[in-house]
Amino acid sequence: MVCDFFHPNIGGVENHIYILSVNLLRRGHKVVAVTHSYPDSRVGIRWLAPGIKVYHVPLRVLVSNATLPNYLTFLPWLRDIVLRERITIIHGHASLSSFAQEAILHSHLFGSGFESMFGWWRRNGEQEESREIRTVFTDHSLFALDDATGILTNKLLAAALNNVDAVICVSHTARENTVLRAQIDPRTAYVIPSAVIAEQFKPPPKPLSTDTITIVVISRLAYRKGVDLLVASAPRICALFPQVQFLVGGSGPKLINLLQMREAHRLQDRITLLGAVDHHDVRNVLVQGHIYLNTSLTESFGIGLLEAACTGCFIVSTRVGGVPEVLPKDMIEFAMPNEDDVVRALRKAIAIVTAGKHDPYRAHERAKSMYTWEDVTKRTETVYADIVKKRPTDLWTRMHRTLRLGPFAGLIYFIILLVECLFFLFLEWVCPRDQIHYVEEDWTMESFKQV
Amino acid sequence: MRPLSDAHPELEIIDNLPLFIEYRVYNCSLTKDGSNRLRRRYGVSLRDVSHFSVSIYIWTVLHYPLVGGLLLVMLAHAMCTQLLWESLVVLPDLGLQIETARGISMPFFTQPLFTSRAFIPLEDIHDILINEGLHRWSWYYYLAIFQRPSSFKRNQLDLKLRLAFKDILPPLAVLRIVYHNARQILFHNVQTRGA
Repeated sequence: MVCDFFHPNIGGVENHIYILSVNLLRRGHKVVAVTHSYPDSRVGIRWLAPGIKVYHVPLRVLVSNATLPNYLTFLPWLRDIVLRERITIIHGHASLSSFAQEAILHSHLFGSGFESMFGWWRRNGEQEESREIRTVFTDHSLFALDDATGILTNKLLAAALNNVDAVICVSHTARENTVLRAQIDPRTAYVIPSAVIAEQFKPPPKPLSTDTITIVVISRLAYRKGVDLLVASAPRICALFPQVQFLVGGSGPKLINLLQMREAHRLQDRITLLGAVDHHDVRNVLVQGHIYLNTSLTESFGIGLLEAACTGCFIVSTRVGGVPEVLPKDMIEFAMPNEDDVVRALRKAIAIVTAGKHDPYRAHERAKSMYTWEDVTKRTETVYADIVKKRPTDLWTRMHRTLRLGPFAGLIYFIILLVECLFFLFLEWVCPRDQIHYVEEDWTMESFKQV
Repeated sequence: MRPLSDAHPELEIIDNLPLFIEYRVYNCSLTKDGSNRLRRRYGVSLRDVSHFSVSIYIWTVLHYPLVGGLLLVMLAHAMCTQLLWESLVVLPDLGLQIETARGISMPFFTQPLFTSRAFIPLEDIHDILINEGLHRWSWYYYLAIFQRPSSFKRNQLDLKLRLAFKDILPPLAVLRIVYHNARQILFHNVQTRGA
């Protein structure tokens, strides 16, 4: 698993990678995570329970935990990791992670195809069985195709996914978005939604009384999470329904807008701001609410909606991205991403909850069975099994496909490919394979249970 | 002296119990024909010859005697401080000693010119373990000794990590032999699992 975004950083992608790794480990695979180092706290090699090895590569972080794309400086460390751990599948996550994209670009160098063409380092008489590294990429977010961020990152993504073996997206909308953005073959794109651990999100033991209706919002307070919609609609709802309380968790750059709105309309006792909420506290916040409000302007899957539905909340959300695919229609009320429609949807939701038509315990039972991590892991394993059967692309085909990216990007990436091959040959000379400390013992579930 | 073990000829165990036992790892490479014979890094390599010739050239032909002279001095220094061996000396009931031997790597120069030794008393040794870490462009297994000074003057939480075989970085199999034997002699217990 290669990604810039991994623990100790908290987030949806990090959580997804960790839980997926744990489940793959339980099914007997060996999982190694590669991420960047945190100079204060995480350097070198660390272990995460129950046996995931995490390599912290010392590359500098640029902004929001993403490293600067430096195609060649990552190669020495990645080469050493892939060779010593005898890795067969490289799984990259998150389009904004430069590690993931570079790992997928470098993967062809470690296989026996490249070695048979250029490998002077093979010992006399040693025949390697055909062993190629396969690559998988998981995309967690949606991107627009027409704004500045979109145009730049989409080209980078298209170059990285040019020769990938499989792409996993978290919803059908995300799959269409990724296929269009990265110009990949749609047959290589799979849809495997994310999941939630239902035991961590149980509804409250006693149902909440409907004298005061509490609307819960938990999100990072950024523009794309639609905080402006919340700021616009909250005062109107508070004016229309005197029994409604708001509970807002999370922090971010738009916190100041919320505070200003609260001051302006004098809603200090109606709107409670909790600040940043830890992941293990999220359930305790969600059980206090009848309704969960999500006003995101873009959302590929919406794991927060699933967590809230598990806890028994009624969901009100903007109809964007992959949100309509997540839950059945009677558990969620949609709104267009404008203020009037959000107010209309909230009005309807409050009516449903006040009339007692929404049963939190039944909602929990339904949501529990819809998305489970065992299902996700099994489907991911199917993807792995599929790609191992495919024939790998050799260097010549890879060069042709790279040149087809476009007049400028194609040429640039072709040059990068050539320099990368030369650098790899240089590395084989400088750090020979017999000097590498190969890993002979791994943690398995049995040894973990013994300890 | 116990003879060199077959699979790892660079490790030599000098057994002088009950006084001490020394685990010495020589700086050598194995021959590449797969027979695992020893090939010590003797003599003068191509790099030394080219360094020498470049410095002589700068001195005489280009007439920069200071620069050429400086390069010659650097070459002499490099040739005299080549790594010969590193060892871990286990003294039962006393402690551990980490040694690094440097000198001229020529056939008839058997004794090192410079040896650096560091002794760690037994009370200070908190634990010995094998871990993996990053060094330049590679990830290596290393043998680490946790030193916690037990003197009453120092802060009890002052934990230092001392590395054995820091410059040679032998493979895991060699480290495991040293690890198990050192633990058995010092702490009188043997790890049953090779974790």
